[in-house]
Amino acid sequence: MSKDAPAIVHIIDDDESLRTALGRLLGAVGLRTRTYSGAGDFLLNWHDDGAGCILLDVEMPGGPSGPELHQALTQRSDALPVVFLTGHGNIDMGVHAMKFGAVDFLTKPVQRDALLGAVEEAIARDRARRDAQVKDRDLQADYDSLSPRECEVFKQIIAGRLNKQIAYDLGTSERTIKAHRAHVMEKFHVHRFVDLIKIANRLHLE
Amino acid sequence: MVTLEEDERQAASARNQDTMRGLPPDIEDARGPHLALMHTHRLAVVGKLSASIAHEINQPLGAIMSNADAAKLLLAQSDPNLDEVRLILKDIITDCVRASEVVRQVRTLANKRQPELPEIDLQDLLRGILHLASPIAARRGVTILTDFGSQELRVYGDAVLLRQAILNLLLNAMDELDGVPQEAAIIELGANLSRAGEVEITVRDHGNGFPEPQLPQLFEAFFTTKSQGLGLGLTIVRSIVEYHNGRVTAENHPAGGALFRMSIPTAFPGGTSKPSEDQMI
Repeated sequence: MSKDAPAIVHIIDDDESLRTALGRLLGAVGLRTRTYSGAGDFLLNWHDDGAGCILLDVEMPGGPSGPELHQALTQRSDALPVVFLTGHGNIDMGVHAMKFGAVDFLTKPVQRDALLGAVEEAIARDRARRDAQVKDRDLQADYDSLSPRECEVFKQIIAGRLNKQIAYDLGTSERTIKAHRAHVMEKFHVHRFVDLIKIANRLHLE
Repeated sequence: MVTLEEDERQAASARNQDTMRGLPPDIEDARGPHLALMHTHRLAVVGKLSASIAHEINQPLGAIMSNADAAKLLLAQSDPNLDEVRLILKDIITDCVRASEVVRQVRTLANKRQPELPEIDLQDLLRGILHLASPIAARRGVTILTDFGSQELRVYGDAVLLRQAILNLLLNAMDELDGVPQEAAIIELGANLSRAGEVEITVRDHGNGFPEPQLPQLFEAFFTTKSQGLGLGLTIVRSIVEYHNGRVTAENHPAGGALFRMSIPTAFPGGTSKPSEDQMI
């Protein structure tokens, strides 16, 4: 799926008429939409086929509520950002939803600009998450390509140790350490020491 | 005069103990407290419903809004798909009807109404109801069996409200029998005097009954088991029965199907003397 393919908005609402109307509106601005009649329908039929977000009704009788589904989804690493829609929202509900990372909490009937703004932001968040995940994967691959010796040198460098200290510890020459260091930089595609520190942070190494 | 007034006050205080307690009995005329209480009671119901009402109205309004926005965007395109726009307009109208139906239903609860509680015979009322319900039932392949006994079933009642309540139960029962083979599509409508000095009206269908956990929820506002239901019917039934100082319950019949019982106190518990016409206000 190319990065620039139209995002998909997953509309979850027990009210068919509202689902259809929201789908038409979002379709008219060039988004792709999928509709689901409830939390169960979504869980059974959703598969990750591109960047997007979830437009989620709060009250859905006869099944898990919107917030319940949202809470379950936050456990997943591939969770789509959620925009809530409610027929009669209250502050508690809104605060709770935002705490769990919802993008927005909108009240029906929703103004077009508010809806499109929230959906756009949710999609941007999802794209950013996907980009970051790709970067993390690439970085992890680079890290895995280090030899055991290079890995050891890398860890010592980012701990702030000098080449000659590392050489002494590993019982080798400073020249050898310099060569390892150059390989590490090369494998991570960076040129400066400070970039290695950033990479170590992203890899959660200390 | 005294009998009815006493009866009304008792009913009134039972219904609304908080507001009625301590109110001097002679501050209102005989009909006054009833009207005020009826309305207060209904407004209280509406108050409890406000969140649900907001939801039920905002749902179609939300669809109308998004549909209209979509139509605007479509019409701004160079070669607009007019068929799609026509479809959208049709849906907008459907949702307008849906929203106004909610408003109408709510108004039957919220409106001030002149209720009347003359002494009536439920035998007559039930026969009138059958006159209306039997043709509908026949068209839907449903048979209504009746057992009203032979006694007079006298209560103080508002015929319009009671007719509405009983019809509602019958129509629900017909809905329950949708898809049931015609020979089994039977509703039993019964009425009798109970030991407790009450008239009990029973409506039993031979459908599938309700899942046990749903039974206590059936009378809750906007609770519905139907895809097209508003979930206000049984709430209104209960409101009407309670107005008559009675009660309504739902259960599953041991032999299958749902059974609704509606009990209303008889006009003269214990068969005491009947007031003459001029005592009826």
